[in-house]
Amino acid sequence: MMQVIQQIALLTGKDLRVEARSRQTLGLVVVLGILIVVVLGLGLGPQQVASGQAATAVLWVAYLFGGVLCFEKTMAVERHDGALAGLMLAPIDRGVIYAGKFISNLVLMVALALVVTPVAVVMFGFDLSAAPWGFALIMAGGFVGFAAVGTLFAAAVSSSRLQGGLLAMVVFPVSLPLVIASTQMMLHLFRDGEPVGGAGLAVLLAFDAIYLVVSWLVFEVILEP
Amino acid sequence: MTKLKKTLMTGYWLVTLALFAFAIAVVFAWTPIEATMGPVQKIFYLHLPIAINTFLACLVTFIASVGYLWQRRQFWDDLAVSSAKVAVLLCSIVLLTGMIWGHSAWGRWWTWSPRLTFSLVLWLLYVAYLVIRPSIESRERRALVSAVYGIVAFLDVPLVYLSVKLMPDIHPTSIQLAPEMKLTLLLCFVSVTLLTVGLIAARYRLHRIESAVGAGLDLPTPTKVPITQPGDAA
Amino acid sequence: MNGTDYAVAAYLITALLLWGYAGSLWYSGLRMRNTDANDAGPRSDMS
Repeated sequence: MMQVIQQIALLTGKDLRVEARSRQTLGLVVVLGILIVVVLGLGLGPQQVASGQAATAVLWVAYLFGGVLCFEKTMAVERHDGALAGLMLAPIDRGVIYAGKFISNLVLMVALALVVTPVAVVMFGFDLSAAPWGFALIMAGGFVGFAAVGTLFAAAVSSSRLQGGLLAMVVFPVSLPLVIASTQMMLHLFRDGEPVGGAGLAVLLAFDAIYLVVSWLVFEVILEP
Repeated sequence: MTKLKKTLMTGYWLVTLALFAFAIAVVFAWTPIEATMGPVQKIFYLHLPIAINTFLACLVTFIASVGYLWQRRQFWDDLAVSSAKVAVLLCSIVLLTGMIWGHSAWGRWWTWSPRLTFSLVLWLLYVAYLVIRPSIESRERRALVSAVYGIVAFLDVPLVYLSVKLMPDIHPTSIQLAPEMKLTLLLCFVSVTLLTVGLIAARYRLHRIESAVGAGLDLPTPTKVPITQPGDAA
Repeated sequence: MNGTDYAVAAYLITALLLWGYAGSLWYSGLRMRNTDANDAGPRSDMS
């Protein structure tokens, strides 16, 4: 068990180190996220923006697009110079490779959220102080499921030229239950002032659990250099 | 195709079409008109059986996807894509008939009620399945991505169902049916199911031929699809 | 429009879609029968 955790930490550390040195992905996704927030803010006009209700939907759009870019980049790193073949030859379980990629993606997405969320909060006058922990909990639940599916499909969709649009096409429809559940919970939380919990949280957790298990099982079968 | 097979297939289609025509005639001529909703309720006899068959088609795609990941045989992929196409067709019909009914009952073509959202997301899931396939050039890679997607999309269906339940609802959940109505519904269900199976089978047969042509293998129907050599045409 | 019109419209649209799909299958089958293996180019995967 200790060994598995060590291996996962090693793989995640490697991914994050590559990212820290190149700073390719994070710069890209953060600027993309801010751009999305600004464009939607301009498009929605002052009335809707002032109400603050649109902020969660806008944030989800930014997270979805940014997240897909993260998944793509962390997998593209492995496709360079046959790194994936080396990784597959290493004496580690394929599930460990999945877990490592999954955690790297999750860290990148949290970093993205830490920058983009304050921007949206300021621009949309969204009162996060009403329930900051509820917001964080719902978003964390959403991120885990989204990263689970995204990591799986990033591995399945290989280096085709259309990869960018393709990965988004694959991951977005599958992630819709996450978006529906979390936006509905946000409405209950911020508009009606109800506490987090109940059916919505159950859907998020069920999604996370199902996709982590399925991805972990299927990843073994589909990983090819 | 052998002569017997061809006769059987023609017979199957004739029976299916006759049953379907009979079912529609029964719906309009024999089944009593529902008391509260009036004649528009007749959409129900089409709407519900097709909705159920959409799920069945999705289930076939799921099973074929699992089969592909397990055995890596091309025919599983052909079956998966055939039933996904039929599922999209049926789901489009469910959405359209539902919208017509909704416009009559609620005065609006679309409301973001749970069932409507659910059908729309289901439709999107399987339309995405069909549109991503041509973007992947390698045959094995396409089958692989499709199989993974087919599994994930089907597991998504109950989650979508649960998540849309968080929204406010105006869709009827159950309708009290007279015995004649139940009989009509059964008749419609049988004919729609036969039609679904027939469409999936026909689509599957074409995909098998296409795969065989694409792979340069022997064709499954050599008598009907002659392979000519480059010199033959001259 | 009354209820019967809506119901008839729904049945007509259904028939049209099913008939269109079956027709496209029929057409693909015919075309395939007339295609030889050598000019079997890339086909649309949408029908």
